[in-house]
Amino acid sequence: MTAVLAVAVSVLPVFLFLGALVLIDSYKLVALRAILLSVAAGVVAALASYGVNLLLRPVLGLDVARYSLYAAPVVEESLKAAFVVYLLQRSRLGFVVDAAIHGFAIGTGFAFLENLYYVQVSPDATLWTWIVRGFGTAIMHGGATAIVAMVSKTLHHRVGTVRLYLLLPGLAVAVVLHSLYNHFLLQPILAAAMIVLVFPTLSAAVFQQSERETRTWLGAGFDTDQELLRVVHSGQFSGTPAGMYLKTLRSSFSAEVIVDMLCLLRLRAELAIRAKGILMMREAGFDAAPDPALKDKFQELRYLEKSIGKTGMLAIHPFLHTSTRDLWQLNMLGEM
Amino acid sequence: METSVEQRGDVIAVHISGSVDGLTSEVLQRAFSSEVDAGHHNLVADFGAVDYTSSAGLRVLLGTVKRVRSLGGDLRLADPNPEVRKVLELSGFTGILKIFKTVDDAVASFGGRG
Repeated sequence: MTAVLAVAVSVLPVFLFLGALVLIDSYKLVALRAILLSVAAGVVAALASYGVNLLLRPVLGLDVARYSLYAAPVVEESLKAAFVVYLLQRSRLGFVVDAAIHGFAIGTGFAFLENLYYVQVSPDATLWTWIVRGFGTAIMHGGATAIVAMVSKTLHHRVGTVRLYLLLPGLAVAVVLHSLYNHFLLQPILAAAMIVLVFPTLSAAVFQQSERETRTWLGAGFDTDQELLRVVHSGQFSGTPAGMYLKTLRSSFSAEVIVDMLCLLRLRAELAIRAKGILMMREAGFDAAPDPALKDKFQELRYLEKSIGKTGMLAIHPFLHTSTRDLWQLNMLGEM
Repeated sequence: METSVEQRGDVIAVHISGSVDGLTSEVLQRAFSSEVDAGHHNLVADFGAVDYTSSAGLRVLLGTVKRVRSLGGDLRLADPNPEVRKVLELSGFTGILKIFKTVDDAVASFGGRG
């Protein structure tokens, strides 16, 4: 069996599956560049895992078989999850769907390098080996990290801030699944077949649920942002709780800063409407054209944030929409 | 919210009044759908008497534009008030929806078909 065929069989399925996940996301929540970055992070995680496994096994005194059953899943899933933490901290995960895509992409990068390595060191392996590695192990890697990302995103969204311990439930599930897979409780071919059947079904259900949630968030958020903007433009803002609160800040901040605070609220609402508009257009099947004016708006946003200062930003924090999804939508817009 | 339909050549002007929101957007959807189902693919949404449209109304507009364009027609918007127009511009929908000052302009934009 040629190395080219071995690479194709062991690597292509996971990339095709990743492509399918991206295609069924009707909101196109993750840009291609971001997906490639996650794949690259998975490659780095695989390299790091190789090093850590090499160092850790003698320390633990386990033979290769036992190490791959109990220690390797912990090491590999933790290292793959490291990039999920980074994405959460940078507000790059807005929904369960994009969390799943990023997670699967990380696992794809990991499986890609791992399978290349195995093709290199096992030139005599049979086609069945590469089928199992391509359809079973590789998709297991993608699926396990997708689970870490989905569970962590869900928990972080509920709590509202990034906490490392919120990663643990998803990580525990991924480690257990990984370890069970390595135990080969089922015949390898059967295990691969199960993964190929179960993961797409599970993904489809999760995507459907998440799309419903996205649709609801979009509608409610768009209307709230629109209402805020209407109040600001109509001059009625000073009569709202947020307006009255701004008035109370006059004793602590200069008039210019107060004006900048109001401008910031307006600009954030405008950008939020733009971001949600793009998602609504994608939902309807349209591609949103790039908007050159966005660059200026983000420059203005940065100027206002600087002018208001850290203390000022803290003071208006209660009235700024700063949920994980609010920040995510700004990031999405900024990357367009 | 109320709608009424006026035929101008092979262009249908749908006159809308009131607020288009989550509760009333279905009425608008039905008005558009019945025209499209009847084979009218060139539509004008007269927003002159619309005082507010929520995301639900905008979704109806986007969905209808998508549908009629796939059938070779178009949905064009006429006379939205400044607030609605501002929201359409901010959201980027003006890159998709063609907006005209008057219903006559919108109908005329379809060429000799009005």
